[in-house]
Amino acid sequence: MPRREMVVESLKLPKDSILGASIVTLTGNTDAFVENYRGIIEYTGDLILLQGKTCKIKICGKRLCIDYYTNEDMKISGLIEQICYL
Amino acid sequence: MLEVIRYLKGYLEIRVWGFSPERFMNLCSNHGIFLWDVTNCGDHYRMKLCLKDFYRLKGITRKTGTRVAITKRYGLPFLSVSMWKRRIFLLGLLGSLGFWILMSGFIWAIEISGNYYVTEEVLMDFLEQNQIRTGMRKKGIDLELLEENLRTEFPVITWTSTKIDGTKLKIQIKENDVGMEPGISEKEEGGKDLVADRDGLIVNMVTRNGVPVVKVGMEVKKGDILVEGGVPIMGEDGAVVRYDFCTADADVYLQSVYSIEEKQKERYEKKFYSGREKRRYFLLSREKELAFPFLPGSYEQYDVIKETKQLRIFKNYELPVSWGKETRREYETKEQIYTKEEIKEIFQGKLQKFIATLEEKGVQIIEKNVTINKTSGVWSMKTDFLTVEKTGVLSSTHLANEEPKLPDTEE
Repeated sequence: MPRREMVVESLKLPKDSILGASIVTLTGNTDAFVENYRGIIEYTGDLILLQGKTCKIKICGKRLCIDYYTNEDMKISGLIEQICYL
Repeated sequence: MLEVIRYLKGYLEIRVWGFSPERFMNLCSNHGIFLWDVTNCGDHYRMKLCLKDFYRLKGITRKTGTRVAITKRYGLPFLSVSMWKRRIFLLGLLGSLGFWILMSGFIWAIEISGNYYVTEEVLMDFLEQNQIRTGMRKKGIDLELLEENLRTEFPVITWTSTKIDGTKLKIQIKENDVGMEPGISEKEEGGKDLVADRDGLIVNMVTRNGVPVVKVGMEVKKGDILVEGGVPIMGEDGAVVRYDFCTADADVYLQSVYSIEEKQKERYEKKFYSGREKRRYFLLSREKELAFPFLPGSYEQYDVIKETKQLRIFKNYELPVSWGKETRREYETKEQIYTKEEIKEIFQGKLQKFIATLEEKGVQIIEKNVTINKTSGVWSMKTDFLTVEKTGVLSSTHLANEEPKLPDTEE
């Protein structure tokens, strides 16, 4: 385990703010709530590719739509089939 | 709530296409431009953003090589644009609203209730003198002052309540119906005689107070004293020392004769309606009248029947305008002659009326003698009623003038 992660783990600090980990919250398979990301790389009706701070997040599905989009968070709705971390 | 704020500020739906729409979105979020309802429509994207933020897009579009077009406008700032097309309608709406508000600031009707002794006309005249009339501003009325003035001007009014209900001024009053009979307060002031108020023969008499001067069976004339309002106090020598004054009180029944004579011409003119009539409608504001049609056409002889209704909104908002219908009915007059039966009927009606007035006064009818005859085209009826009625009116006693002399003689 890298040293930085060990410190965070032992001091019980929030990982998202210290390590820059993205948070993806799913409600069923229709709504996804994403925090801690840098921006959108690609957006089509079937795929949304987001750039996180450490990795890329690929959300696949049908009729995907961005309900709102700000610097901090975004909400995706549609039929979500798959989430991949690249 | 968010929706309402967005609506008030105004927002747009835009179409974005070009080299890199994703970068466009990223730059928007970096610049703090809030985007929502972002959808991919194949070759372009649709999204919504606030009107204010739209003006900040110029640099972003240049950087990202995208193009932006407005597809829809939402919210209040755009409503005024669409309203501009209907400005006349809007002006009318606002005008009428302003008119109603302005008109409801005036008094358009005055309602008086609870008056019995003081007639409505007298009260209306009083209000007119106090500058209170229909068509005046509501603010100009001091209700408390009006109540006070009403009570001081009319002592008979013991309680008043005034209020403004809509555009109507409601005045409720209560009158003092106890102790209104004259003479009651004067009882203590001095002696009162009971005096005959018409000629006749006394048939019955009961004295409760005072010294009776007349007896049953005596003829009296109008103005004669019936009962004296002073009881004489005798001295030892039998002379009157002084009078103990009181108000004479007695039931004196007088038999007298009432005569009436009625005349009626034999010939008269009777109206025969032809059945033809003309109608027109009118608007009446104060004294001015606007009728439709202007020239209704007229008959040689006609009756005019007018029905008027006050215009009002809801129940209490009366407007200074009334409308109505005017009907003109044509008639012809023909000379007719009364038959004996008809004449009898007319006279009978008149007699009944007279009897009713007598009975109202408490007069008892013992006998009546009616004669009807015709002389040179005029019917005449002569009736004599033999009646019994209570008589007597109070007047200051004549003994009061004699009194000062008596103590002088004593001394």
